[in-house]
Amino acid sequence: MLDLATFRSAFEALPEPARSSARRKALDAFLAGGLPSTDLEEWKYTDLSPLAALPPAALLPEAEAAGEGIGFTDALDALNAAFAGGSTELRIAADTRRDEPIRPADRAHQRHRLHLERGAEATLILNTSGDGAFETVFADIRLDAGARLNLVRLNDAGADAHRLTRINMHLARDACANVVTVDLGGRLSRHDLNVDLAEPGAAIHLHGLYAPAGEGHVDNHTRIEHRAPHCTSREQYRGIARDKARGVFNGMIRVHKDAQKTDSEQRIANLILSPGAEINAKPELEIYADDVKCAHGATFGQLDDEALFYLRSRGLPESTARALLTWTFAHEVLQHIHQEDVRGRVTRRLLRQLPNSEQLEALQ
Amino acid sequence: MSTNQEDIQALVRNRTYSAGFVTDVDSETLPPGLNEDVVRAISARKQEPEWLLEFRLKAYRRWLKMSEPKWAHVHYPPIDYQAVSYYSAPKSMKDAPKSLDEVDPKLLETYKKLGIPLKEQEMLAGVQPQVAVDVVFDSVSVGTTFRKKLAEAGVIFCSISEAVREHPELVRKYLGTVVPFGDNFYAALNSAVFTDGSFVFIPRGVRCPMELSTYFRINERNTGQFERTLIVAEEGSHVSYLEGCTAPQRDENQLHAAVVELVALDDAEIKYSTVQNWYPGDENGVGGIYNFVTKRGDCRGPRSKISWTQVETGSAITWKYPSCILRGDDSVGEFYSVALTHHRQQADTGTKMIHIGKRTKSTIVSKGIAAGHGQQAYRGLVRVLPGAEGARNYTQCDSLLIGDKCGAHTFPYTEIRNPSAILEHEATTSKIGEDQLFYARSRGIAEEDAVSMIVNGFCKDVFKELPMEFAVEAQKLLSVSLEGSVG
Repeated sequence: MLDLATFRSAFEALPEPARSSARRKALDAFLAGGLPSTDLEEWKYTDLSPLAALPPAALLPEAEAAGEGIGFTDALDALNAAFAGGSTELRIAADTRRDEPIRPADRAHQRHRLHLERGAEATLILNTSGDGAFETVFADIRLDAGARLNLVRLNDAGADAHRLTRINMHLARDACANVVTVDLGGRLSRHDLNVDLAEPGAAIHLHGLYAPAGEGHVDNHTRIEHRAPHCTSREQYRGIARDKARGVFNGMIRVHKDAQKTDSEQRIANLILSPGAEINAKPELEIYADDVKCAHGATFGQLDDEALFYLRSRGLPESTARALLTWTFAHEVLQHIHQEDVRGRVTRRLLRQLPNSEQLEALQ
Repeated sequence: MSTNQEDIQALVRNRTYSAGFVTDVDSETLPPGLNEDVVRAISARKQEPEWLLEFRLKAYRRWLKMSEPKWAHVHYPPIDYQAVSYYSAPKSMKDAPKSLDEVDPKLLETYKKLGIPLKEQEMLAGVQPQVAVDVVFDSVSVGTTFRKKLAEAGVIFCSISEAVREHPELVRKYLGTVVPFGDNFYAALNSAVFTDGSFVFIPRGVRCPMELSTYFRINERNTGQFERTLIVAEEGSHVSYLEGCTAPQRDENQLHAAVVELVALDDAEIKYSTVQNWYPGDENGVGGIYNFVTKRGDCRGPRSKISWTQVETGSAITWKYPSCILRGDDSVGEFYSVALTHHRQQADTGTKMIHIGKRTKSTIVSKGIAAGHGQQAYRGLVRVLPGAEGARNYTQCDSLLIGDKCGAHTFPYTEIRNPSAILEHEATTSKIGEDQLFYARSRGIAEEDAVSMIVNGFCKDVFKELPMEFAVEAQKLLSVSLEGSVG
């Protein structure tokens, strides 16, 4: 097993009051469980061992605990619990609408519990774009009957950033969640999104973009559990890999035994822009009910030659034409971000990664 | 509607397995258990050269260090590999009959019952289409038909044991080059204890004058069948090969772990079709064959082509991924599959397409049908390596669910490392619609026939890839296996 001493050292370097027994218990659970190995199917393409090689000073556990009470489900969850020092709890009261998006404080390690009561509406923006070399964000989100949530998760950290994020969502009757997740940067990023459609009528709309560049490695794992009849899921992910980057997508949709009338669709499209880049995608379906509509599709390809030719015949330099087509490919996902400041920021960052895209700055 | 469905479910339960009889012959069977002595005994019995014994022993030693794969979407109690007998042959085969005419009539009767044509005259008379058949009974090959006619064309078609004796240089050159002895747990086991199977060699530029076929039959109790098939198509040659299998109806599970290796050199084409109808167990999941098979084709030369077509209706558990290594530039790999799981059957099957050469193309069409408590999984891999400029893949996997107690799953892996690759993957899940059935019935078509029609329509893309006479058999098999089901 990997030597995880760096995590312990980082923890021990915290001031005395921060090293509470609850946090220490979580840390011990993580050290006992260890980092998941690539032998596990779930981690086949993503090797977390570089985390153990980070110096203790880069790990940045939070000196101030976020809240009381630490429970955890597995080793990585325990690591987040130990380093974040408890969860921030947030509750949106029944039938209230919160117009202003919730933007949690920018901490390296965040742990959130969000509960939308019956009929509540809110928007949550999770940003892991800080400068830290190692950040973890874990969130547990509960939607009661008829609640609605817009969630934007954004990761455009620098080239040395390591990020672990996990979002668990539980949707009750007729609850609805719209999720947009974007990964543009980082050295190593793993994002797990687990959605439980627990009661009839629940719906999830999921849009994801992953565009690793340089030596970056981005892994998106989504798991949608259709546990009740008459639930809907729509999932669209787009990947763009360039340079020596590697993108991983694993989308599992499981239709449980009694989840009749499930309506589920998953679309994955990928662009590989450089010879050294790689994308591994696995759209999975597990179906145990017979009266369901389930479809998934995955494509890999390059930019359309005819579209390129058309743009060039209109006087665009080739590199600009390529940038424009790449942007339109990504825009299919980005258009679902309704906060203009966030969308603008993501678009600018994406365009910066594309050569000769200055002329496109005005697009956004 | 619900009564309707119950009726149908009742019909489904009445499925019968017509190949489930036992042939009463005296057999010489090694006692159960596996150790180096057993491996040596099998090798000695087959009078094998030293290098082959070495190959077996290396595989056995590697196997000891390996563990059973657990990742497949199937569940079964642990297998006791020491309780299996690794060699069984009818005693009458010991005197090595010179031709089929000298073979024990009881054995010939078995194949007659199964509808396998072994009488060349009958076939020549036009009763049956012309197919050369190699029949394997437990651990030995009983005989091969049409040998003379094939020899005239330069084609070698015989059992692998015979090939080891008659053409050792060819076997040695190709054996284990596509599926190495340590490839996986079951392939290693097979490499250590394989008994019979077919060997096909098509020389340069020859188009095999007829379909070649092997028929595998497990008869003896507590035995496993570990056959090994090797097909080599030299430059510019062409061969179409069919494989069929059955076993008696028994309450114990029996193990079948085969290895099939195909080698296609420049411009060669191999078409490999399987109709797998091992005993599937009864409706409570008692008995049935564990079918753990490694099949792989190597498109070694430019412009070569390997095409797998399989109809999987039998076996309690199927673990099978016929694959293509597209090494030569412009080589083509194809995989067409119909897999049916019914009662308590479980299947985890699919393919791997490894694109290495430039402009390599692959097509995958998989149709899964799950009924009763059947669990059906498609597991496929499409890998495009950095050098595979212009690689192209099309994948379609559709599932049909019949009843609400079965499951259909899709696990398609894609690993793409070349920007010029174009891939499409599509999967759908559906059931037989009430309206489709209603329409057919309103036209006076019996419910059972309507279901059969719809299922056959669902599988048409695959059946049209089968040689004609096999396609007819496959359709029949499917309707027998599925009598009258709707979802």
